[in-house]
Amino acid sequence: MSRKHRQIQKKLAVYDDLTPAEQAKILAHLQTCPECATGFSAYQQMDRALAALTKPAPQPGLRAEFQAKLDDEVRRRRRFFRLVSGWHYPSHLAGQAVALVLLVGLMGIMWLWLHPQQPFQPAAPISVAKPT
Amino acid sequence: MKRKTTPPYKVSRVNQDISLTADPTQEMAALVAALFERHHREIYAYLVRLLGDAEWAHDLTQDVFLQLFSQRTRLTDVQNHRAWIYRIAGNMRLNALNRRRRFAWLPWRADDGLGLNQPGPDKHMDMETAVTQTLARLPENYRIPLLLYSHEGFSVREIAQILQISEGAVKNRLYRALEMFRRAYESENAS
Repeated sequence: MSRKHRQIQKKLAVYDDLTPAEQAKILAHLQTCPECATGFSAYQQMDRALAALTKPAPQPGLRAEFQAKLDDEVRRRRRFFRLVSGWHYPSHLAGQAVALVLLVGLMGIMWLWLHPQQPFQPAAPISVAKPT
Repeated sequence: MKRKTTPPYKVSRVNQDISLTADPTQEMAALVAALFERHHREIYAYLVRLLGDAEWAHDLTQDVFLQLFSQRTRLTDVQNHRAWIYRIAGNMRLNALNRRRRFAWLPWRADDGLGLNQPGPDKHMDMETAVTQTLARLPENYRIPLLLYSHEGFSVREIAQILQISEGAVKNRLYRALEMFRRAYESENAS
């Protein structure tokens, strides 16, 4: 098969996806080329056969099963976001938590102030006396 | 005639039947439920055809749409939901196959467990069975684009998005797939 025919046949495989101008060119070629015309006919036949395959129907319980799982997911997500955002906690609890954090932080700063760390000093070199 | 492609639609279009609430989680769940209602039959059929196992496809169909819910931030940016869902279905199918291979101690078979080693089409079997079996004999790289193009009605551009390959690669694969399909079908019918 020549290169030109191969190029045409590649286009025949996606004929329905071509622009009208490209389709017109292909049709003009098919008028003069029985080899490509036969290939085109075969492709169209296969395309129709594949399109006509029946689609297996899902089991009747699929929708209900999915909806139950989705509802679970929604509940789980809500629980998580409530826990994280804390918007449903009473405001006085949130205030107490902030005060506690501030207090711990302040105590930490005071401890560091009262116990300053000694600056790093390299150890003195160790001299080892040679055995006589 | 130009191939009929899936019209791009936005979330607002899917949302037409959904009463919007102040709760974003509930709103997104309603959107996912609407997408499920619209596409679950075809996704199920697609997975059955790829996996060859109705029970497995049943579970995986649900997982695909639950995955949509967990990817909710991206869902709102998607223009073509149908192609997007097929892409997720394809990826989840691959993950599921890998998991099954890894954990179920199944031997690595050349047919991927999809029935590719079934006997060839019988002379007396009906056209549908013959086409299905011939299709199952094609390598996966060719079978999936062909299925998406001829059976599911996707355009070349959409298939490129679904499979995350270039449009040129899709065209090449479709050409080769049709050639392989034709040869396999003719040889089976001739024998």
